[in-house]
Amino acid sequence: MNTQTTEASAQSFSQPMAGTKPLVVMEGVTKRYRQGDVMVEALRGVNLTLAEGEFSALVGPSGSGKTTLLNMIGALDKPTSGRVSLNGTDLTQLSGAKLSAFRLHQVGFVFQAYNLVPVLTALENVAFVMVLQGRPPKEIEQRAMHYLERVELADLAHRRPKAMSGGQQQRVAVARALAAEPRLVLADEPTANLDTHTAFDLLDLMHELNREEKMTFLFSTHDQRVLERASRVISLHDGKIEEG
Amino acid sequence: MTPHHTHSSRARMLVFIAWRNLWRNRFRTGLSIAAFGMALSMMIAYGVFIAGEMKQMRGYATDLVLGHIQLHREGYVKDQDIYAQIPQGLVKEVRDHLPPGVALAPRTYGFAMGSLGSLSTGVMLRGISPEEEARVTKIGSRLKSGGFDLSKPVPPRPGAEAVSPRIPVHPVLIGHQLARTLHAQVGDTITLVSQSLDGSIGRGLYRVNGVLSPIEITLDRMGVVMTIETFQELMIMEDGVHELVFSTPDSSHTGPLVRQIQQQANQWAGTHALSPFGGQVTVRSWETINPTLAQTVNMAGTITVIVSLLFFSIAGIGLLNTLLMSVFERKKEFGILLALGMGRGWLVAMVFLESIFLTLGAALPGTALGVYWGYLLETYGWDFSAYLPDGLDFMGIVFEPVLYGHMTLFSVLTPLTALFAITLLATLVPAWRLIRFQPVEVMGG
Amino acid sequence: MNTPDGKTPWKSLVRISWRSLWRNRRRTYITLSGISLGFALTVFFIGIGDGGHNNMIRNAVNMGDGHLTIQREGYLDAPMNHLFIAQGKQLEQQLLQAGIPGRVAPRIQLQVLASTSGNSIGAALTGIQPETDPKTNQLKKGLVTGEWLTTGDPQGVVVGARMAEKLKVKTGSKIVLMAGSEGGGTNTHLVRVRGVFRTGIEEYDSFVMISSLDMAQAFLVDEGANPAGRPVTRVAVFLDDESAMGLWKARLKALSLPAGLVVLDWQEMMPQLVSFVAFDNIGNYISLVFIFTMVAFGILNTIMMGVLERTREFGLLRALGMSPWALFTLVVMETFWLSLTALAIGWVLGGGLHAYFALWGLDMSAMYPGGMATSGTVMDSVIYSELSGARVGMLTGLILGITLLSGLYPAYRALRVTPLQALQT
Ligand SMILES: Nc1ncnc2c1ncn2[C@@H]1O[C@H](COP(=O)(O)OP(=O)(O)O)[C@@H](O)[C@H]1O
Ligand SMILES: [Mg+2]
Repeated sequence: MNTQTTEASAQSFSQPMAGTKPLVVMEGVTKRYRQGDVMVEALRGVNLTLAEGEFSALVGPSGSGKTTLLNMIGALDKPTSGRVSLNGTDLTQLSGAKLSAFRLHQVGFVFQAYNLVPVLTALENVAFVMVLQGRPPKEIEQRAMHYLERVELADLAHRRPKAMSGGQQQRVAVARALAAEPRLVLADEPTANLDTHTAFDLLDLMHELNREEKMTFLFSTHDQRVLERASRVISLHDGKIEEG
Repeated sequence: MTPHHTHSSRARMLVFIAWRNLWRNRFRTGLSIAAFGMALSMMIAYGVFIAGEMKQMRGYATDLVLGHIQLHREGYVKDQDIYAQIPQGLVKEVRDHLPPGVALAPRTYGFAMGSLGSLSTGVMLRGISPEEEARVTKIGSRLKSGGFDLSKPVPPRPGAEAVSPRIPVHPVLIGHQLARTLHAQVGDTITLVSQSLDGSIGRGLYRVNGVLSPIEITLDRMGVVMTIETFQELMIMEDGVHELVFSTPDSSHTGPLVRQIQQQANQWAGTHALSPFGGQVTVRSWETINPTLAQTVNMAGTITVIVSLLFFSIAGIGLLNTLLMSVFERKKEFGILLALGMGRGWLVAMVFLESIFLTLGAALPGTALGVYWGYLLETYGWDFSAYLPDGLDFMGIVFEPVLYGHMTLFSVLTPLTALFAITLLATLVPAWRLIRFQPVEVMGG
Repeated sequence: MNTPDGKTPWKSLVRISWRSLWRNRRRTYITLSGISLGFALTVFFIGIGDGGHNNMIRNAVNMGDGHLTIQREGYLDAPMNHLFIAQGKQLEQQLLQAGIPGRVAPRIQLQVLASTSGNSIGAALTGIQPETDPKTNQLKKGLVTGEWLTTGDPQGVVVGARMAEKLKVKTGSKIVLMAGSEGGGTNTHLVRVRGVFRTGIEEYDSFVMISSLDMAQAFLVDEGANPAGRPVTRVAVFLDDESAMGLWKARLKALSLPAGLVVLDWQEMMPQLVSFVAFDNIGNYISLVFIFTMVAFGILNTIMMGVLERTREFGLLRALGMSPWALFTLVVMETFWLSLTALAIGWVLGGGLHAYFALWGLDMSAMYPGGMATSGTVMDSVIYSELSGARVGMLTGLILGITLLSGLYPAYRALRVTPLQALQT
């Protein structure tokens, strides 16, 4: 399954790389949804530890629970049972407003599509989260421009999302996530809407940023081809992490 | 597969799709229906209100003040010449040949100084024949206090200035404002001083038997109503009257009756010489006498139509928005339907069907609510007496401050028709856009 | 780590809300046209309504007894001829010295019975200073025959054309006037017609008879007045600036006027006109309510559609750390821009309509050829639109208020969007 993975092959999938501090810890996490009359178990007892600085891929077929898992870590949703902690904070104990503040300062998001606020330009989109964080305007401007340059979109700074390609939009989203200095960037199928070439470019960019900025990345995909880019592969099947 | 079969099944499918489409955006459809239903019910209530107001105006004008037809000498119409009298013979002639259902009431007019205690003011005298007046107008039912009975004076009010029992006292009714000016109440005795027809000064004592509600501005401000006999005695007028007022059951077609009475009068005048002054006899309908009022009354329909159209155009812009939105967000769908072989005409028909469904959805509850409001207006009226304690005077006639609605088919159908007209008009724009959609544009979404 | 929730990013909210409004241009344009058209219509209705009312009021004030009237206490209640102001000259002097910007007109108003050999009718005799009274301005130009009055003429009157017809008099004819006296008796004086005027207003042409103060004063002398004091029944004050009425009413009250005199404004003199305006306004307010209901529905529709189709976007904003209240504010702001823009266009349209009808007037002579007589006054057949600052403020405030109100529900819907809704495909 992960024949192309290099570093990760020796590790247990659910364990962080040796010698690094755990950033995310999930213990016995389950999540049940009601779909009409039936209960769907999206996650069934997930234990997972992510170390700081990791560049991990979450793989699994559609419906396996990838999005659900990412939502738990990203404090977008609460587990039915079990514990999720990020950087030592127990997310299951936080209230709505605190969760929202937590997201703002600790987590960066890159979604599958519609990442950007349509009425804001690329630059404004990158600046947006920093504005919410309440950073000084000067700093916001510098950082926003810096990260746009980092994703090689400085010349499109004043374009609106509509006038950018899918790949460019995803790169803006990556720049936005990084500019806000989170502890962790969660990317839910960031390449799903991109052609292979663009998808690889995006992953390369993320990997590069992971190395250079020491940023922890967790991205999900159902595309086997992109796994070679990941330093660690976590495989999800029917709401369970599969060993081996 | 016969074309007929295709058409009918297609049409059925179309109706079905159109109906379903409407409920795809429940909020928008619900809001549009609410807006239109509301607009419609308000317009119906408005129409009922206006129709009621006009009916009331007309009723006031004819039942209380003008009657339907009046007969005068020309001199009286022009100069209120007190000598321009209608001789008793003519009155009798007309009275004897009245068509069935038509009633007649004679009146006389004059001026005098009226006083009570230290207050005095100019008054207008109106002599009436109480029994005949009651058959023509409803003045007798419009008293603020006291009664319409003019056969004998009521006893003096306790505390009122005493009057020598030897002086005769005649009963009168006075206008409400005049009563205020003179500080007079039922049971008071007023003094009237006038210049009689023979040039002498006439003077008499009159007991206030009743105070009239506001009906006519002059009557209210300065009117003193008495029997013709009392009037003739004060003014030393031999016989004859100044005015004949007619009422007819067929009030909307006064023309023939006017001509008939006029002819009768002319005939009589041809055989019996009229007095040299006073001119010809003239017969006029109430519309001719107070044209502004008649015009206002007749404007009711026009006003309802104009206001309905105006207000619905604003509502129509809202509908236009809804329909355009729904057409544009379904470009792709229309593209598929076109690709499947549904003609553009059918698509346009579908959009029209949708707007008709929408309008019907608004029309049913809107009409029900509007008719309910109309019913309330008709039954309970709208009381403005807080604003207009003395009624509303318009063109010389005083209207009651409680306005009642009048529900007619017209007052319900006009807004309904206006609504459908505006709806169909608003549908033209998206329909036109639909016809102009390029297949590429449509498929491209 | 307990960091505070995201700061309310006002600038971003303004930016996002304004731009969002213009994302679906067609929809916004249609909504704007609906609101501004409705608004313009309202401005027109209110402008014409107010113009008509002010016209009636001005006519009533000009033909009546001015903005402010000074007369004996109780005269309004019971206009008795013995309730005259004995020292008319002195009062006039006092008022003239007060420096009122406008005119001061001493008058004698009497109800009389006018008789000739031809007829006998009631008349309103008004004694004025023939050279200076504002009535001269209105009536002298309508003189059909004869001459206007002169000061000191002890016998002359000018009468309305209809009255002249009824009394069968012409210039030079004699009329006997009879007025009631305090004891219940009558006083009579003989007058001569100096001229006949025609105004086209029935009330005037039929009932009004004008004389000099000197003639009318004879009736007051009968009641015991001293002619040397120049007795009058009232002094009418006409102000150049009608808005200064309250101020001058207070100032005149503060003067030490002779005991038993009261200062009344036109509202107190003509309460039925005040009621009529209030009544007539109800109609205007009803159409206001109607139009504004439609406006509210239009706004609700547009904003709500905008909110519903942007659920994902709002979810994204929430996922990125925006607070629910910031989203609420965002939608309210959007509503606010919509209404501000609509107001701007509405005022251009409505202001244009107003300006046109303020300048050229709305001709209603087809319906009311001689003007419309009601509530003791007339409304001219051509009405000029008028809008006061208060009206402008009221209309603007109402639209803003209604818009914001109709934006509340969509804003509440936006508030309830969860971050998860950004992710649903
Ligand atoms: N909000 C929800 N309500 C009900 N069921 C849900 C919801 N979200 C996810 N699910 C179900 O949970 C399972 C996992 O979904 P998801 O995490 O989206 O999988 P993936 O992202 O791997 O495709 C699926 O069976 C899905 O139908
Ligand atoms: Mg998913």
